Amino acid sequence: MKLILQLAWRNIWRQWRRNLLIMVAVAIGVFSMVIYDALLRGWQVSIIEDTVNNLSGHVQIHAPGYVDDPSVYHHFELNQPLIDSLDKNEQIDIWTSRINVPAVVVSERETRGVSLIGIDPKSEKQISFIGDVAIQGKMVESIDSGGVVIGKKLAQQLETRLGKRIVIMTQGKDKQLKEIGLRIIGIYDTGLESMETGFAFISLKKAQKLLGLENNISEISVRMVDSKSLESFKFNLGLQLETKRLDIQTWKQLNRQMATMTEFVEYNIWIWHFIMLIALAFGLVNTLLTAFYERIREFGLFQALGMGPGMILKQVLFEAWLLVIIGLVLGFIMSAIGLVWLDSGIDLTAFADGMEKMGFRKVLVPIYLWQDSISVIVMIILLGLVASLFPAWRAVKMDPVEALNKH
Amino acid sequence: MTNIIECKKVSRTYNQGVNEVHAIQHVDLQVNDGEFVCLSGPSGSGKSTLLNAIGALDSITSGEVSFCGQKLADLSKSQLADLRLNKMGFIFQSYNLIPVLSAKENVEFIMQLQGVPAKKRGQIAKDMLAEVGLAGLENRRPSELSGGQQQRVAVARAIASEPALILADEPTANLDSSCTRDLIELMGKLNEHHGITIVTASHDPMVINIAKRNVRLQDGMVITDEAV
Repeated sequence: MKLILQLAWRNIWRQWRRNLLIMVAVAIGVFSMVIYDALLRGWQVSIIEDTVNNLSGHVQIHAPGYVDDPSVYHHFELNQPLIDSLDKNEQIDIWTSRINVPAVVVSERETRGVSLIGIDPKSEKQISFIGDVAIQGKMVESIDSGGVVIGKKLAQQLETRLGKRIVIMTQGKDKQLKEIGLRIIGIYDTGLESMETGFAFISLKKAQKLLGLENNISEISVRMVDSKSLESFKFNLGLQLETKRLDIQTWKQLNRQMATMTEFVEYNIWIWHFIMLIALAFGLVNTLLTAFYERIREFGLFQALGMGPGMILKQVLFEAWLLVIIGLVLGFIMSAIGLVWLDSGIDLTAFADGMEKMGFRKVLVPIYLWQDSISVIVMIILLGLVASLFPAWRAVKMDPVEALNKH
Repeated sequence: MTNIIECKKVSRTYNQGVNEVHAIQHVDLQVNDGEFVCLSGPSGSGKSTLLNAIGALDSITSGEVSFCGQKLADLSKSQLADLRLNKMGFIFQSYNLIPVLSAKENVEFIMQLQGVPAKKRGQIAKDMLAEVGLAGLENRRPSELSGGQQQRVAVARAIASEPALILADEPTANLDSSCTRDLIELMGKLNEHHGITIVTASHDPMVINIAKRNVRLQDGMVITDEAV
């Protein structure tokens, strides 16, 4: 083994310009794979975080029929057995209950349709974006406090501002139109248009009173301790709440478009890795074949001196592996520098309008998962193997006398 | 004396387009342990082809080649490689050293393949290089050595692993007369003092004269086989 490595190492530096070129090509390939992975992962994580933070949580519990018709008529009682069940579940990090019904907000100048969200701010702050969002004024303070909180964009659309009153109109449980005038106590800024225009937050008790729902709610939103076991958690929660005749949906079911986009990231990473592998394979095969034809006499000599077919095969393979592994290390070093440089994210403000519609934030922060580097390493090792197969096969199969007589 | 090589009715035919070239035809040859045999003859007489057949480097069209009683045709490619590694040493016309290895590493190469421990093979390589007159040049790469020095390294590599047989194909063809004389003396010494069996293909009179037996070939056939 030492002999093979020694020969491989020295042969690489024998034609250092040519080999350096292929090593740099591999390094650039690795760099592009890592950075591309990191940007896509960053996008994927931002999609998931934004979706989960955007009130959905990892899992939601509703009354049957609510998902198809999210109106005041589909509600359920938040009773003590249900509270106990959720509190005792060790996989649940935090949960909150809400009123979530369609409503219309009216300012002095404009009217907009929103989701009226009645919240318990104590638990809501820990589960959704309102907990850490930049806010002008203040958030709903308690489960029964007054005032309404809206997004910055909605305030602009309504041509209103902090401290002004708006009217919220919605349908009550008794099918009568209900309306309430509330002062704007807070305006939040998320940077995402969809989150700033879609909601009006009031306290849970206020919303229940307005709608005539008493102790009933529209939904329970759950954040898990570890979201990796999403499906099994949903299944177990379903068993736990079986007798309560409630619907349970994961965020993927509630936001199919976003779920598809996160799956698209996985496929995209694999497709990009595969394209890079094919492109690099051509370059590497070319380099290895050139090296093979230049050193055909040497391979004949190895055979004549008694180097077995297995060792000759290893010789070619190790040379290819050394080339790609040096390129791989170079690529990871370049990638580390690139990731440090991009640590604070890429500012997409110039494309913000279009990007927001695709679920991008204004700043895309790359996230690199070590699992993705395994895929890169395995692909590069495979590249060395695949690219060296043909030259190695030629080296083993050739006639030593013929090879020794090549000039 | 033990019979090392036995060729029975060995023929090798090459196809060149539609023509068949009979490189060697029905050659019978026996070489005993400790012999120094020169296969001589003009260019194209079949010397190298016969040497390659004996060294299991080339297949034969018909006949039988045996090494120490073992028929080469019965051995696989790996077994033939093992045979060459452990029983034979080769010296080629154009030296054929490994350019990325130093003189010492070239001599160590076969021993390394054989699995000889590093310390032992390092010492043997040093001794062998000293024996062929290259003490002090151990760390030079082939490109830093003259033709004669390179051929001496090749000789040292061939004898370092103490093979039963050394096969030398036109070993003096690329050397000047002074280097040729030195190499021939060295080969004679190896045969005399170490008892190594040598079969060489050469048309160099100096080589033919130092060999103890001259097998002359012409048109692929043995025409004379006589002690010198």
